[in-house]
Amino acid sequence: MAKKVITELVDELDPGGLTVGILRGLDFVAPGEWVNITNFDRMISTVTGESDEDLIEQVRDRALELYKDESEGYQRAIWMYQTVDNAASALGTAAMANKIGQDTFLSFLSNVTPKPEKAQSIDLALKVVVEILAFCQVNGIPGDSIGDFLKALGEYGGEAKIRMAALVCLDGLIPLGPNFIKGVGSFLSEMSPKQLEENQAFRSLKNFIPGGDPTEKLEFVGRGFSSVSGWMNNLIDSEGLTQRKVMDNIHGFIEIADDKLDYVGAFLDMSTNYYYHTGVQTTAKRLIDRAFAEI
Amino acid sequence: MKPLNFSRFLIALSLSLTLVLGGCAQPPGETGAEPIPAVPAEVSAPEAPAEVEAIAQEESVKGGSLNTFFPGSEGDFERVFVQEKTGFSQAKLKENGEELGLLSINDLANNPKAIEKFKRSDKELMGYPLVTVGKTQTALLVGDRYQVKVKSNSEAFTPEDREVWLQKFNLTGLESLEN
Repeated sequence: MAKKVITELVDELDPGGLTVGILRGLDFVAPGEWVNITNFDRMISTVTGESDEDLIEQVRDRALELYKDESEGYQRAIWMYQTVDNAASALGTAAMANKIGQDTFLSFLSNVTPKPEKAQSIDLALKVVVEILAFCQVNGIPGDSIGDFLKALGEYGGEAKIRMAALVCLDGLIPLGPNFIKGVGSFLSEMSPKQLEENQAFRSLKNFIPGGDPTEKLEFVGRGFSSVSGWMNNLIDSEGLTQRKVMDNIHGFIEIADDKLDYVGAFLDMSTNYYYHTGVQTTAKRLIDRAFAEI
Repeated sequence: MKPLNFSRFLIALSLSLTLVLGGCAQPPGETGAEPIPAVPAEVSAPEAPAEVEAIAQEESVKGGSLNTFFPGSEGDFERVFVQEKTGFSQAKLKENGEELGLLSINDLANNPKAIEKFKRSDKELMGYPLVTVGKTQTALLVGDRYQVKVKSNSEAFTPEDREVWLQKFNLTGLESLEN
């Protein structure tokens, strides 16, 4: 399959749907900051503050040139977001496409189980690691530079802040409960490199995770998660985030019985692709910033 | 948007699981059906990029070597580097925490198209060709090779302010920079 160029990737993002609806539900974390731009030229106009068509064309052409060069890191960043958010699986898509709701099928419910806590913990930690690695790829910083990433994290806004807030809410609080930061941290410190190797996303990403062997890579995953723990705790405290508050805010998009909360994480995991969606937007914006500076 | 009924989702999911698992149980070729893709085509990402370090373009300087020519933080103004790529470096300029604009230096050794606009300009600043790009940028060409730009991200940061900040770069140092 031919590789898609950045203009196509942005233009093909969903302007509505469940992912966007849920992210809008989390808007209270960064009120009004995130605008779901799904058109590359409009994104150029927003990022540059320019509306001249000739200028927009020049920026687009330069952005395409830069994106095409794999060594620039933009392609790799988007691939990382996609890989760790391989959630929009055939299952989720099929489930969303089907509107079947006869009671006779309730017996099938026994086939559905929430993702095991350990698997969810690894997924959450890997999403944090991908955020660090993609940040470094996009901004041209060495891949193990957690310090530079943390400085930038404090200034995250727009779709990047919503992505990180969604990470805390949808991959942390809802599926793992209010003590997820401590729980995941402990789990990572006790797990073996072999357990990490069993995770499909890790196997795809491992060549890009700093460390000479699986033990060092696991150590980086633990260090990466730990480094972001303070930021996540601050977000939870400052916004008073609880499972109830998050559910109340996304309630308009999913009707959920209280006793089914443990299924929600699995459902969101399969039916949304918020990491990829906002990751493409972040990468494209930084690419446009650079392209505009270079024309 | 209409809320998604969760019990309906579970039912649909069960059905899908049944379909997928059932599909997997059949040897390929027997059903004649297309296999269900692991990832929907509309979100297909590029193949895993090659695990190589950035290939330095022969004629461009490293981004890091450009950093030293940027204005430093001073008073209420803070300079924060944001991107550093081959032949390119960019920093945010903030005043009391508020973002005013972007500062950048770009080696045009591999981007000659960008030099053309300076040839059409009769303006100069500190002896270097000066152009305004769109409504938000002012640029200088230093040593016929390096493009120094200041961009406004705020209306409070005026074209005059941009020229002031262009002069705060170490332009003569940059002019003498070689590979």
